[in-house]
Amino acid sequence: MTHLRNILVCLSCAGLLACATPADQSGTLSQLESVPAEVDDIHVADSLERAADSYRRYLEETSESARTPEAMRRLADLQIEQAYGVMGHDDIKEMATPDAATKTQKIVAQRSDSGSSPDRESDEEFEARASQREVLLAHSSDADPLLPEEGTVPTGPREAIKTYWEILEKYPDYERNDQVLYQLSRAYEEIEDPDKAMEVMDRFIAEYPYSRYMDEVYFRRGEYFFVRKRYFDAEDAYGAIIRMGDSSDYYELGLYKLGWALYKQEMYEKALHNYMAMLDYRLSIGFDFDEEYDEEDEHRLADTFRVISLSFSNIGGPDVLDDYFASNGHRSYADKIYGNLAEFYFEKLRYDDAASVYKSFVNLNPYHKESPHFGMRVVEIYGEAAFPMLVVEAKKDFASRYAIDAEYWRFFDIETSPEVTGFLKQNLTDLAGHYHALYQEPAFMDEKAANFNEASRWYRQFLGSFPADAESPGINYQLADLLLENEDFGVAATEYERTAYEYDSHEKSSAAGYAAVYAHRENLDRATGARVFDIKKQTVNSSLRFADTFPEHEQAAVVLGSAADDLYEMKDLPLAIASARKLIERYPDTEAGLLRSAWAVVANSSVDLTEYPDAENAYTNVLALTPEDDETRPAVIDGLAVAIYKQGEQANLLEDYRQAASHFLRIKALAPTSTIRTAAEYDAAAALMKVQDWSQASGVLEEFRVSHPDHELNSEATKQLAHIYHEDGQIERSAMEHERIAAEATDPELSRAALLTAGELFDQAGVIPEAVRVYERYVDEYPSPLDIAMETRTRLAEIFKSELLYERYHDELGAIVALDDGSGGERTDRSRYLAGNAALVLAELRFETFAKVRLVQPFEESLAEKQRLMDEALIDFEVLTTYQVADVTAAATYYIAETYLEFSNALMQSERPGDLSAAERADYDLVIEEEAYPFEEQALEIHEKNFELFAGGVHNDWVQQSLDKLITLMPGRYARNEISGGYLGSIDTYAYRMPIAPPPGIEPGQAIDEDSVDGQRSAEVAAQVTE
Amino acid sequence: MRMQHQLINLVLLIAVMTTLTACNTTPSKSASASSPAQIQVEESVGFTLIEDARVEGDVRVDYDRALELLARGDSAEGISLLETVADAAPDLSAPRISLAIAHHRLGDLEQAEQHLLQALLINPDHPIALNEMGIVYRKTARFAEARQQYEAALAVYPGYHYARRNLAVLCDLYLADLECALSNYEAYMATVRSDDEAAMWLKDVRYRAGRTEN
Repeated sequence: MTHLRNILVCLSCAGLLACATPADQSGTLSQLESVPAEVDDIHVADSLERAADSYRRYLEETSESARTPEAMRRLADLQIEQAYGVMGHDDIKEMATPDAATKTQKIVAQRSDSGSSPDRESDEEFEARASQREVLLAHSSDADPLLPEEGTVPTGPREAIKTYWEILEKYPDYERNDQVLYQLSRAYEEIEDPDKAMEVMDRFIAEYPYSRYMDEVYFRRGEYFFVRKRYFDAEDAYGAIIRMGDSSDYYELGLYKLGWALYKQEMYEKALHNYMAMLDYRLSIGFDFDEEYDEEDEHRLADTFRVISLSFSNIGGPDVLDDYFASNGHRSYADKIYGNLAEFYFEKLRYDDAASVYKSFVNLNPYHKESPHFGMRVVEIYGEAAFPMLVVEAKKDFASRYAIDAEYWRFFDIETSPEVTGFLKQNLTDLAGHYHALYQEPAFMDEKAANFNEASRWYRQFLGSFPADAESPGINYQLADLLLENEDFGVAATEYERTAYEYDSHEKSSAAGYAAVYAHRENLDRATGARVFDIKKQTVNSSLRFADTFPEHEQAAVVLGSAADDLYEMKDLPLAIASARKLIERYPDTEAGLLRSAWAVVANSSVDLTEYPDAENAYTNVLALTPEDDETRPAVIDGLAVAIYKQGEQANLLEDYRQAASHFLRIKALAPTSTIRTAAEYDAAAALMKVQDWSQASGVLEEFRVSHPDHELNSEATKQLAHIYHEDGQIERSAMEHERIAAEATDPELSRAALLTAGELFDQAGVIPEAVRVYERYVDEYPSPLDIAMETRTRLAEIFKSELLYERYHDELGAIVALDDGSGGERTDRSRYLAGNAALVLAELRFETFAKVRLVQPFEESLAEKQRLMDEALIDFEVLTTYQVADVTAAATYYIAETYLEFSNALMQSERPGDLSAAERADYDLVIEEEAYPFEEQALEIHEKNFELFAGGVHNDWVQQSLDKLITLMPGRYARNEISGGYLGSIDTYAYRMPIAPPPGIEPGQAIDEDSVDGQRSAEVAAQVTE
Repeated sequence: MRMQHQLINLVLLIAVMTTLTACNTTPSKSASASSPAQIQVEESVGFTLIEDARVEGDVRVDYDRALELLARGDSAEGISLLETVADAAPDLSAPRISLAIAHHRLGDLEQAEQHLLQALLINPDHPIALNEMGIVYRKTARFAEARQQYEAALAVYPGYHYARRNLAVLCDLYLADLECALSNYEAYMATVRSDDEAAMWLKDVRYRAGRTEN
């Protein structure tokens, strides 16, 4: 500042000299114009002195001229300057710098411990200081001389005042007398004679109303009045400046002081108008209320805001601010007004009013950039006031208004408001923690649900707003805890999982992972119906994730094991196996019970997946981990046996029967106490039978029968043995086994069938006595089913016949006939067929007996016998036809014919009496022939009847035999045989020529030798007769 | 027997030559659409059946030799050689027919039938095969089938006297169809210059049918 003054002094001197001295005056004052200004402080005093000396010399050495008053004024100015420093219009003196009001921003930056400072100036002190003006005007002297008394005023100023008065008197027309008066008034001020100064200023105003110094003069007058509490006069003086317009340098200051003048008169609203006008003016000249300006500017601004706060405070409560702006228009710097008023209240410990002002602004300006700060301040104020509930409400309000997804952030970049987001985070944390604590407080049980909702809400808002924040994992964990405490286990599990897996690794990651599993299990314990499966699946997924992510966690093995168990229950078998194996491989040294369970999962799952080798291995491990006295050991052994057994079944399906048998037989060694051991041995034999390893199969079954004499499969084993021996060619042993089956079987039908088979096998084996024994036993025990009994007896008959045991053979045939006869309703076509054939054989016997009887002398006796036998035979053959079996009927017909023929022949060949003469013999023969002929005719007729069956579709040997007989007996009628064309003489060509055709070379119709041709043809035909 | 066989061969040879000569002057027809054989018919004389198949010389010789063996009663050798020939000439029916006849004469009707079935597969209209099959069917009591075979043979050539006589016997004895027997005996008699035996049967049938006095 001093430096600037020096420059101004130099410039003043230079200007003065330029005006007073012609340009060509060398070595005179005018020459000073070319002298460079000395700006060094060291030379200032000397320069002023030299300048004053120059003016003095000028006045002394030159005659009075038009320049004299100018030189006098300059000399006086220099003298004043020498005594008090620079004077003049260049620098407006302002009020002393007060303690600046605390800026709103700083309030926000500070925490609630800001409080009111005990060193802060009071309102009264503020008013005194802020309304204070220059001391020169503040002190009044009782004396009122034109010149100050000697001794109290230095010589220089005294001479200068004298000089100024001299100019006014001697040169009343001096064109710069307004400046002289202005300087004179200031000189009086410098010498602390304000009243004199006011007199001079009054003259100034009266004489030079258009001087450029007028505004300053008005201002000084205003200050004069203000200091003397003549506020009305001061109001007028300041008002004169305002009326001059904002071109005056004193315009803004005038507004400020006018405000104060009004304020002092308790005209607060008018005062406010002027303060607002001042701020409006600042705004109009580009002032930015958010920018930092020099200290004086800042102080004045702070003072302005403070006095505005005082004004509003004096007008009324917090609401007046809203009303004022509503009435007088909104201001862009209103936030400053609100902030200052709020802080004003705060300092007065009017916390609610302070908060109300802030909240009022926020409500009116929800999207103002300062609103969040005001919201934060509200929280702090309530905190200072120790209003916990209001703090909570304020925080909730803040958290709602400035949530990350709030409307506010559509207007502002959240990245540029770290203090807001920081406060928001803290707010959310506090709110969540607050409500969580309330939730846990037994005293608030009635509000438990509401507190839960609030806590949950704020936790979630935090996590939704700051998902990547360093605090988020912890917050998330707390949310999960809250949900768990509230028994929202499913949601808790989800949040624990999120805590564990969706953040970078943190100290609670693994604990959260485990807690998730715990929550899932709690949820599962309470689940019912269809949800059970879904929740179990979620539990398993969480468990597997936990085990994979935190394999070192002390509970990892347990969790993994439980997951494997669940997976098996859910029949997700591959995953169950994989999980169990992971446990086994990853934690080989874990508790034996866990390992055993894991192996059990592998075992059971492998069985279900038909992976039986794996199952066997797993069961083996389970067994190894199962104590000898464990009650589950038998079940494990059974499982092992099943796993092996199933391998056998699989081999069976693949038709690898030897391998199947091998598996089945392994059970005896590896799981000897298993319940399926016996079945396995039996199946081993069955498999061996499939590969026709009869020897090993029979060995297994024999051992089986010995080892398990009371086993239910014993009878089956016997059957299999019977089959095996049969297949092995040991037919007799097979027969014996079948007989055993028959003896042991409880099922009569089985017993019957086995006995029959035994007989058949003995029969097949050629052990005829045994076959007969069994067959006879069979037909004795089982006359029904009829057909089988008939067949069996027929077979017996055949055996007897083949063994030449004709008596037994015939007896058996008789039994067959009798059985059929007595079967009544059971009679079948088959039984009739068999019985008919049996009866035929017996009838043939009777025919043979009849045929053997020769008619000898005495003729009557033998004839009677033969006739009797013939009658019997004929009856038998007639009976045969009742069986209605075509072949048997044809045979009967044939034999009837043959009986008659035999009788005819017998007659013809009968022994003739020995005592007949030739004539008598001729007569006798004639009689015999006549007697025999009808029988022959009868025979031929019956044979022809039999032969006629051909045309009726009956074809059998008996019909053919009848034909043969007819051919023999009636060749002219029946010896009509087919002729064959004979072998084909050429391999690829066959030429046929009708017998009637002319010989080759002779054209048809040409005469030929008939005899030679007929002979040739007859020979040909004869040669080609087939029979 | 040998003399007889030689005579047959001679007759066949003459017949073939005659037929071949006749081929130049009479129309011919194919035995069937699918058969490689051709039957050339001369109504008042007879027919010639030619099967188009390549026959190696050895096969032809073996066939002739087989017939010689059969003619002299060496059935086993003859049949064996015929089977070889049949295998070597699978498209010819003659070896199969001759095999059938050989087995027939040995009483093996089943084998005879099988060979005839194969022959008829090669040439379904072969009158000889059809006639032989008719005999086999009659002897196995399949009278209706036998009649079909004979009638099929006669459809090829109505003057085929073997089939005509056999059909007459079948109707006479086994089908009791006197009208059938009568007409076929009469037709048969028209194809031969004389057959005393058949003439007697014809008279018997006429009697039984009430056509004439016995």
